[in-house]
Amino acid sequence: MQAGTFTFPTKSIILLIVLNTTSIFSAFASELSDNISFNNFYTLDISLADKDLAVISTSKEVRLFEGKELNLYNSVIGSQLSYQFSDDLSFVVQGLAYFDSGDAVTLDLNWAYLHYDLGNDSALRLGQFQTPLLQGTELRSIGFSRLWARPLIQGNGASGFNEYTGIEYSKRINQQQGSWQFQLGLGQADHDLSFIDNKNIKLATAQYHAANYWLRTALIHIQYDIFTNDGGLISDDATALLASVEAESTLRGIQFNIGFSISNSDITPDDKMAYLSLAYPMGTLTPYIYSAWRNQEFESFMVKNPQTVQPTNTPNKNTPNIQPPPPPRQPPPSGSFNQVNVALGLRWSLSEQQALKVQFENIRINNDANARTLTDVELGNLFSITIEGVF
Amino acid sequence: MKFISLLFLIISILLSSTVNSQVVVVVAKNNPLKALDDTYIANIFLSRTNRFPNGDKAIPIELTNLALRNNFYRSIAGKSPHQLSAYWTTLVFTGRGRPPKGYSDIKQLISRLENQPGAIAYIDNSQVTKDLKVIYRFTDDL
Repeated sequence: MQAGTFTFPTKSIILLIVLNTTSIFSAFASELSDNISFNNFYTLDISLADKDLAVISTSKEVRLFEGKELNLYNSVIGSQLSYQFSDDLSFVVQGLAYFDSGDAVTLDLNWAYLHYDLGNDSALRLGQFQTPLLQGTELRSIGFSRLWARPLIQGNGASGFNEYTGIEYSKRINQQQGSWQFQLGLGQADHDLSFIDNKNIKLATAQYHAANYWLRTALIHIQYDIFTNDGGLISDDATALLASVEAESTLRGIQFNIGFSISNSDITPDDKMAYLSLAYPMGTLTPYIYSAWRNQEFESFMVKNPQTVQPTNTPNKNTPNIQPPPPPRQPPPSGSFNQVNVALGLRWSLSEQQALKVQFENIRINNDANARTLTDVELGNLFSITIEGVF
Repeated sequence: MKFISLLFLIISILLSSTVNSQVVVVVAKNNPLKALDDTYIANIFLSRTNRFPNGDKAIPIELTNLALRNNFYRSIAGKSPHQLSAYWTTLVFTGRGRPPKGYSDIKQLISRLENQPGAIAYIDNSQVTKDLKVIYRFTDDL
């Protein structure tokens, strides 16, 4: 959903007003009554790139950060409303607003579900969820929840299958030394690309939390139809298998974060992503360094039945760079696309609900696949100052 | 000089009484629960479980007294205020838990404890009323 177009000065003023407004709140949540509560989050980010760079952002878009200009593209504000019908039944809706690639304000729904407490530390949820491939794919919009200025996930999140609508069962098992949480989900996934349709998703995750570490893993299977931009059926039986493992541990005062995800899919490119982060919390200051690597493998494919079947869904506004290819048709990308990010940063906890982050990031890209990207730049640097919080 | 000595003595007594105060975990007197261990208390207050061992619903509530709250969570979970805030952010925005409801007034908190079945809180031992039951005592000063 979009409303209005704003210039850089206007956007800056809007963001400053947001910052001023949020700074007067100190509580974690606002409760209108015993049944209704609000939780809010925001990211105000100013980034300066030395060249045009395509960078993952807190919103759902990979953004083109324009070289030698101040960019506000990583800024979002959002809210979550919870309504408690009874001790066991509640409704939660979470949305966010951000400036999209057309400089218009985009409103997006992240979560909307009914939650029913089954007792025995298990629950059933029905509605729309974020796909839990990595912690960053679920909490992409909540910058305050992470150490770094931007989420450590692939540019397309969970290989583009970033949301799903369906049913979810979760179960927690508490032990003396830690706590297990299991999650099973079933439903229809939503994909960033409009020409991927009928996406049945099945997922399972497991997490273990102990005093000094946590570990989580996810396995996701998706079946989907895929079309050409002009409606030709490529496959009505494509599958994607996504898996991830991720951990955080603190040893001798050093916080380690490590993660790996893999996606094997038909037609759409295979994704691999890995990251390693080291941080040293010192009271309110936490300096960190991380490296993230991403690989995509593009394969050639045949169109089964050109221009005979139309996809049922409408083009997604969050993918402004997917346009029908001009004639003559470009050859599809084939081969490897690799990206390595190395970043150095500092998180300063200004209060329990607010943090300031400063991050310098070097980005190297090797696009042997000739994949269509937002920029041809293969080496660049990005400096970001971010204020994030919850209230 | 005598006045300063007297003032120093009064301050010392006050500080001494603060340091010696003991934090306890309480429920309503009619709650069938007799005692809980520290791990179970941590699980309730960190939203890892919302049930008592007998299956009854547990509703954690707390005072919005920052010093007491910070010491409590450091003691039961080893979490600093900033770590705790990040923890709640992750849980709240994925719908997997909520922090205990906070009260700024001890009278309101005690009233809620006495009247809400399943309510559980940590308070100073001196604030325990006849309608509350202590189910855990911290051995160290918080």
